[in-house]
Amino acid sequence: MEFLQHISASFSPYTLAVGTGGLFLGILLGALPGLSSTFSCAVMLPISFSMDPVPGLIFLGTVYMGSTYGGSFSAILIKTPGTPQSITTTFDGFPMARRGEGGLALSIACMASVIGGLTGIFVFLWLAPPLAEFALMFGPAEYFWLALFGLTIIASLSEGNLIKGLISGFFGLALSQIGVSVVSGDMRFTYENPALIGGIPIIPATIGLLCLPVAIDLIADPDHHLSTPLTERSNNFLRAAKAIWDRKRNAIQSSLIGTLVGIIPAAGGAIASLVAYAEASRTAKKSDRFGDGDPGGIIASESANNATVGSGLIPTFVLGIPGTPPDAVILGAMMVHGVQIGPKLFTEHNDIVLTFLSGMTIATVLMLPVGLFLGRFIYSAVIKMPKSYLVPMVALMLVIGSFAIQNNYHDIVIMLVLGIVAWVISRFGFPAPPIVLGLLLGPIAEQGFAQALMIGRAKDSVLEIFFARPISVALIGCILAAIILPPLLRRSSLNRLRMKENVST
Amino acid sequence: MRLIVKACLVSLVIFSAAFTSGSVNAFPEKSVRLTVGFGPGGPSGIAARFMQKRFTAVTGQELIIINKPGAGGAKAWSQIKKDKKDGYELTLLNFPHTVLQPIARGKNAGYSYEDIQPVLYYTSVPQVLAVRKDSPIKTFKDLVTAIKAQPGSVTIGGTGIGGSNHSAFYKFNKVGGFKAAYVPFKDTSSTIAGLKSGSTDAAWTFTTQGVKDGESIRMLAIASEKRMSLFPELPTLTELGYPVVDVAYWSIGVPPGTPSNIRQKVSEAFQKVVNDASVKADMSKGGYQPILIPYPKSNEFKARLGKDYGAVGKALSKKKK
Repeated sequence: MEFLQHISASFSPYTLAVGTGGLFLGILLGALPGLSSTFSCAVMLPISFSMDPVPGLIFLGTVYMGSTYGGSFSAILIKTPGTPQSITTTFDGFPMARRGEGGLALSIACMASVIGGLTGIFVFLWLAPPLAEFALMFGPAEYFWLALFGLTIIASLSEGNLIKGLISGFFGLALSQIGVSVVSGDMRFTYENPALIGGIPIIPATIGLLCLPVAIDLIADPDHHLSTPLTERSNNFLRAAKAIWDRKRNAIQSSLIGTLVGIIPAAGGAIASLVAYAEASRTAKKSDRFGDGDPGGIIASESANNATVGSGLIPTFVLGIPGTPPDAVILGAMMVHGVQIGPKLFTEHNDIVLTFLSGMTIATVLMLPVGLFLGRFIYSAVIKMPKSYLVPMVALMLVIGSFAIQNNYHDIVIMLVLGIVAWVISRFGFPAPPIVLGLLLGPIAEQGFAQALMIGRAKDSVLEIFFARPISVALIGCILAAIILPPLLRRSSLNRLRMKENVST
Repeated sequence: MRLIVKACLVSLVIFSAAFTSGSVNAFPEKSVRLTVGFGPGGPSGIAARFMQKRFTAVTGQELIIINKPGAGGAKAWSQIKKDKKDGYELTLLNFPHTVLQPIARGKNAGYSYEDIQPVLYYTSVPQVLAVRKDSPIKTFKDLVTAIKAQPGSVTIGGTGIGGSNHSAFYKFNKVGGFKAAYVPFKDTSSTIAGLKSGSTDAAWTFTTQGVKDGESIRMLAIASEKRMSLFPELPTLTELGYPVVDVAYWSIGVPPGTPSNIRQKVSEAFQKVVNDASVKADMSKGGYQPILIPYPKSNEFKARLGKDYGAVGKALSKKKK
C-alpha cells in the first residue's frame, strides 16, 4: 500500500512531465531504425544529469521503456526493427501490414507492450531481492544452452524449407565469428582491415538484412507498399483487445518469459522476445500461422521485450549487474548521480526505489493512449505517402540508422553489402531472419561454450558443468522439445492436409 | 547525402544539449567530440561522463561523447589517425590496452603505438583481486593456499585477453610461481557476474567494482603502490610479499601529427575540468584515483608505460601459442 501512496505522490506535474517526455522521446528514437535503446538512453544521459537523481532515473527508465515499444513501429511498417528487441516483431508484424492490417498490428503491439511493461515493473516491485538470485544461477553453460534454444526458432522461420533456413543460420553464425575473439584474443577473418576488427555490428547488419530487401522491392514492385485497409474506419482498439484476449495465455506466458530473461545479465530484450516467440510458436494452436502474419507473434515479441525493461533493473539495482544492455547506461548514470546500489537501496532508501517504480508505472500506463495515438497517425502517414517520397525516406533512415549509433562509415558499407546479399539469396529461397539470429546468438553460444569448457577443465568436471546443472537441464529439455515435437506433430494426417493446402495456394 | 546525415545528427545532439553558461575561453570555441572505445556504462564510459557533467559549466562549450565499442577498444583507436588535428576530435585512451594490443595483435590491431598520443592523463584505477562475499576463500592467504594446493584448478576471471586484467593475472602468477586458470569475459560487468554467480573462484578487476559491488564481493589485495584512502584496510600486493603493481590509466588523446600548441590547449582546457572540485569528488567516490599528467609530460609517461608493458605484452602473445 506504500506503493499506492507513492503513485499518488508521483502525480506531481514535474514527474509526470519528466516521465511523459521521456516516454515520447523514447518512442520516437526507438521507432527510428538503428537508434537502439542503449543509444537512446546514452543520448539522453546529459539531460538526466541536469535533473535530480530520482527524476533523472525516471527519465532514463521511460526513455528505455518508450524506445523498446517504439521499435515496433518500423518493425511492422517497413520490416526494420527500430531496436534489436523488435527483430521478432517483424516476423508477423510486417506480413500483417502487407495484407492491410497494419493499424491492427500497431494497436496489438501497443497493448502487448503495456502488458509486458507492467508485468516487469510489478515483478520488480514485489520480488526484486529474491529474484535477483536467479541472475546468479546463470553460468557460462546456461548461456550456451539459452543461445542454442534461441536458435531453434530458425525452424519456425524457415517457411517450409528447413535446409535453406539452416544454411542461412550457419551463415549468420559464421559472420558472428569475424573480429576479435573474446575467449582467445585472436583476430579472426579481419584481413588487417580496420572495418572488420570490431566484428559485424548487429544493428547495421539487421537493418541491411531485413530492411534493404524491402526497400529494393519497393522500387521493383509497381504495387503499393502496404495494401490499403479494407475497412478504413474499423475500430482497431477493440479488435486488438479481442486479439489479445483470445491469446491471453500467450500474453501472460510471454510477459513472464520476458521477465525471467530480463533478469539474466546481458541477455536483454532481443533474446527475450526470441525465446518468447519460440515458446509461443511451439505451443500455438494448429490454426495459427506464426511467421506469416499471426497476431500471436507480435504479442509474444512485444510483451516479452517490454517486460525486460522492469525486470532487467532487478539485477541492476540489487546486484549492480546490468540485466540488459541499456541497464548498463542506467547503472552508469546512478554512479555519476551518486545513488548507491545494492540491497541497502531497498532497506534504507526504499523511497527512491518506490518513487522510481511509480514513475515508471504511470509512464507505462500512459504508453497506451500515447502509443495508440502515434500509431494511428504514423500508420496513415505511411499508407498515404506516395512511393516517390516513401522510398527515399526509408533509404535515408537506413543510412542514418546504420551510421548514427557509432558514427562509423564502415557500418553503412556493411549494411549495404549484407542487404544486397540478403536480397539476392532471398530470390533463391534463403530466408534472412536466421542470419540475424546467428549473428545475435553466435557470440553468446561461443563464449558460453568456451568459458564452460575452460572452467570444466580446470575443475575436472566438463560433463557436469554442461549437463548436471538444473537450469541447463531445463533448457536442454526445451531444446529437445522444440526440435523433436514439431516433426512428430506434423506427421499427424490433419496437419499434412493443411500443409498441402499451403503449398497449393 | 552526407550533409543530410550530418544535419540529422546535429539535431539529435541538440536534443541532448545541456544548458550552456557564459565563460569564454580561447579553447574550446565550439563543442568538443570525445570518442570512447567502450560502452556507455563501463569503467571507461563512466570515466568520460564524469567530465561531461561539468564540462559545459567550466568551458562554456559542450562535450559530446561518442561510444564506439568493439574489439576491446581497438575499433575506436584504429580510427584516430583519420580525425582532424584541430583539437576538437579527441579520443579517450586506455592504458595499458593501447600499449598491449599493438604488440599482441600486430598489424591486425588497426593502429600502432605511434598513433596513440596522450595529452592529459587524468584518472586511474588500480586493479584488485576479488572473491564473492560468501566464498570459502576469506583472505588473501586462503587464496594462495588454494592455488598452491591444486595448481591450475583455481579459476580466475578477467576482462578479455591481452588487456589489463590479463596482464595482472600474468604478473601475479609469475611473481608467485602460481598456476591458475584464466577465464576471459566480454566486459567488466560480465566478469563480475561470473564471479558473483560462482562460475569463477576469483577475479581480477578494478577498484571501481569495489565501490559498486562492495556488498557482494570481497577485495583481497590491491595492485597499487600505496593503499587507497577509499579502502584503507585493503593491503597492497607489495606489502603481502608479491610486488605486483598494475593500474589502468585514462588519458585524453589527440590524433598523431597534431601541432604542439593545440595539444597544449586541449591539455589545459581538460585540466580545468578535471580540477573542478565536484569532478574530483565524484571520481574519488566512484573508486577512481584522479591523477594529473599534462602535456608534454604525458609523452614521457607513455614511454614509461610502453617500456613497462612491452615485455608483458610479448609474453602474453607468446603464451597463447
